[in-house]
Formats: sequence, C-alpha cells, structure tokens
Amino acid sequence: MNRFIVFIKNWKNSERLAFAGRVLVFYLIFMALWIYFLISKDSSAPVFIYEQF
Amino acid sequence: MKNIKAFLTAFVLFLLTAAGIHAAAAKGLPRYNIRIGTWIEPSKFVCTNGLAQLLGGENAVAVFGSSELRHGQNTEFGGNSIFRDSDMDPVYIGQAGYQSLTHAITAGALGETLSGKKAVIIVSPQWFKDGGVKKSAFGSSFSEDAFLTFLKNDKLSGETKQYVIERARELAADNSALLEKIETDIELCEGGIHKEGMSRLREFLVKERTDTGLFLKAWAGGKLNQEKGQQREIDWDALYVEAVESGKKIADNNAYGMLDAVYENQYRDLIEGDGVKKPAYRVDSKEFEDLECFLKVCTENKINVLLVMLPFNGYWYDYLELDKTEREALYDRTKELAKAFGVSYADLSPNEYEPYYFEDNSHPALKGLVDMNEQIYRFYKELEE
Repeated sequence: MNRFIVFIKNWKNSERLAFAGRVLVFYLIFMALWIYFLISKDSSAPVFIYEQF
Repeated sequence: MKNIKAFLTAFVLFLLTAAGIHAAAAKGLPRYNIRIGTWIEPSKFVCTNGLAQLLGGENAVAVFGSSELRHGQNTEFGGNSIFRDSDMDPVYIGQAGYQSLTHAITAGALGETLSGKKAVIIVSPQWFKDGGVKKSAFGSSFSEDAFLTFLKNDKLSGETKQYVIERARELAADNSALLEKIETDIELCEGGIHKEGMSRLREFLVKERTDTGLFLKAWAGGKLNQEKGQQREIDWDALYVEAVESGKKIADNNAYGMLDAVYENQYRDLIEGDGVKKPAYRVDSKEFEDLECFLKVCTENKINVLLVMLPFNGYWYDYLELDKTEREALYDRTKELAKAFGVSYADLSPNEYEPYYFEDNSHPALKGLVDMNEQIYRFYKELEE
C-alpha cells in the first residue's frame, strides 16, 4: 500500500508520467470505442423467429 | 496544450493498433477446410472478403440454401461428413430465413469470385409463402458488406440492381434503422465522384467489422488451420445402404415419414391437438420474382448454377390438405424458371413419399441428405468433365 501511495505521489510530481497517464487514458477510450464498433451486434437487425410450420 | 498533445499521441497509437488489428484480421481470414466450408455461422455469410477467400480455390462450390444446410450436420449423411477429404470443397451460405433475395445480393457481391465457377441454390418449397420472404427474415440476414459490394458490381445490369434496391426498401420499410442504412448505401454508391471518398470510407468501416467479426469467431471456434487428410472417393452406394439401415432403426415407426424421435417430440401432440393449419404457398408468391432475380444475377456474372428443388414431405402436407396438385404447381413453376434461364435442375420432388428421406415436415435426412449431396457432387463433376 505504501509503495502504491509513493508511486501515485511520484506520478503526480513527474510530468512525464502524468503525460503517459493522459495518453493511456485517451488510448483506452479510443480502443474501447473501436473494439465496441468491431464486435457489437448490428442494432438494425431484427429478431427473426423461425417457424417450422 | 498538454491534453491536446496527449490526445494526439494517443490517437496515433490507436491508429497503429487499429492497423495491426486490420492486418491480423485480413491475414487471419480462414482458409478453406471442410469445417469452415460447411460452418453455419452468420459472421461468415455477411463477410464478402471471407467468402471470396473460401471460394477462391479451384474445387470450391458455393451452396446457397436455408435451414436444411444445418440439419444432418455431424451425421454421416451431412455434407460436412460426406465431402470431408473429397475433391469438392462446398461453401455453405445460408441458414433459416435466408431466401432468394439475400442470396441474390450475396451472389452479386461475389460476382468476380464466382464468375465461371459453380454454384448451387437449394430451393425449399416452403419459401413460396403468400408474401414471399418475411421482413424479419430479410432484415436479420441482411449484410451491408454484401449490399455495398453488390451495388458496386459493374457486371450487374441497372435493372437487376434496381429490382434489388426496391425489394430491400420494401422489406426494410418497418425498420427505420435498416432502411436508413440501405438508403445511405444507395446514395453513396450512386453519388458519383463527389461521394467517392465517403463511399470508400463507409465500405472500409463496414468490411473492417465483418472481416474482424469472422476472424474472431473462427479463431474462437477453433476453425482455423485444419489440415486436409488424404483425398478419398465418395461411395454413394454405401451411403444409401447405410441410410436405409439407419432409417429402419430410427424412422420406421410413424406414418409421416419422419425420424421417430422428431415425430414423438414435436409432431404427435400437434397432430392429436389438431394444432396446425394448412399453409398458404402460392404460385404467384413474390419469392418467384426474387428467385428470378438470383438467376439473373448469376447469368450476368457468368456463374454456372444448379437449382436443387427439395420435395414437400408428402405425408405431412396431405395431412395439412395442401393437395398434390397445389404442390406440383409450385414444382412446375420452379422448373419453368430454371429452364428459362438454362440452368441445371435437380428435381427431388418425386421423393415426397420416399421412406427414410425426411427428418420432419420439410428437412431432408438419411436418404434425403445423401440424394441432395449426390446431386450437387454430380453437377460439380459434370462441369469438370
């Protein structure tokens, strides 16, 4: 826990780490949106219920 | 300023990652093996790049159909068993709800790949309902990838494209999201040079989805990288004998020519409760015009077609009082259409009362599957000779 707190303090005090953190956040948002676009179900496709008779 | 720099840096990294995913999916589109070829999976049917890759081989045959493609899989009489390690590579396209119009769009999208090659369409008489294909069936099977590629196929006549456009609009009329998609695609494709950029971008995004979708599904399903075994001959006579032997054990105890277990689980109570009405199949069904459109698409793209006409289960439809004259009229209309376009025609309609032919009221099983698959194989070999 202490190490984590120290890490966060270092992050806040370091410009490079802060920049990397911002890049990571934006990157994850882009990737989440892109992956969602690639694998989400087509919202315009209706449900088809197969009737054998 | 710092946030803008971080945003732009993240965007560049994202573009590099997306390019990597694109390259992996494009390279990872499945190569032919019998499991992929006969795989009943919508992500395969909607992906024109994936289908083009599967149909690129010299032994490939496109087999357009509907629910019968799934039935009998993994029995010794299904296509995935019969054609394993054979000299024919069938590519199944379709499942329940897929009918002539959807297949016309796919065939048109694959025109360049299929030109000069063989294709089969398995026609079920149950397609010829009063209003033709159901809106929900068309909508759920619609592929924007195939539709865009269809619209850009120069070999197709304006008349054929216009027919498909009007039918797509008609069938999407109650689905505003689908209709908007269709209208946007039409507008972009007809937009000329000033919309070329937008059209390419839209096509890129659509194909990115379908290519990645197929790659991920095939990878997750363990369907990539299957080795072919040593080529073997198909012994059709032995298959018929086996089908009869199996039939005696599993399809000999009901009066409707079905598998006994299917009759017991699904039909006996229905019949006793008188719970099924006479269906409305018509010789003026819109489906005939859609089938005509499919044949036109194939003619314009020089695709060699076999039309396989599946039979009604005679016992079942007698019970429903859809009499033989009405059934014959549907078969005759289909035969006329095949003749008018000069396509090969495999008429399985005389088998309405054939023992060990059906799984249920409509789907072939046992001898029915062997017969259907043999017709396809004989068509394939004839054109080779």
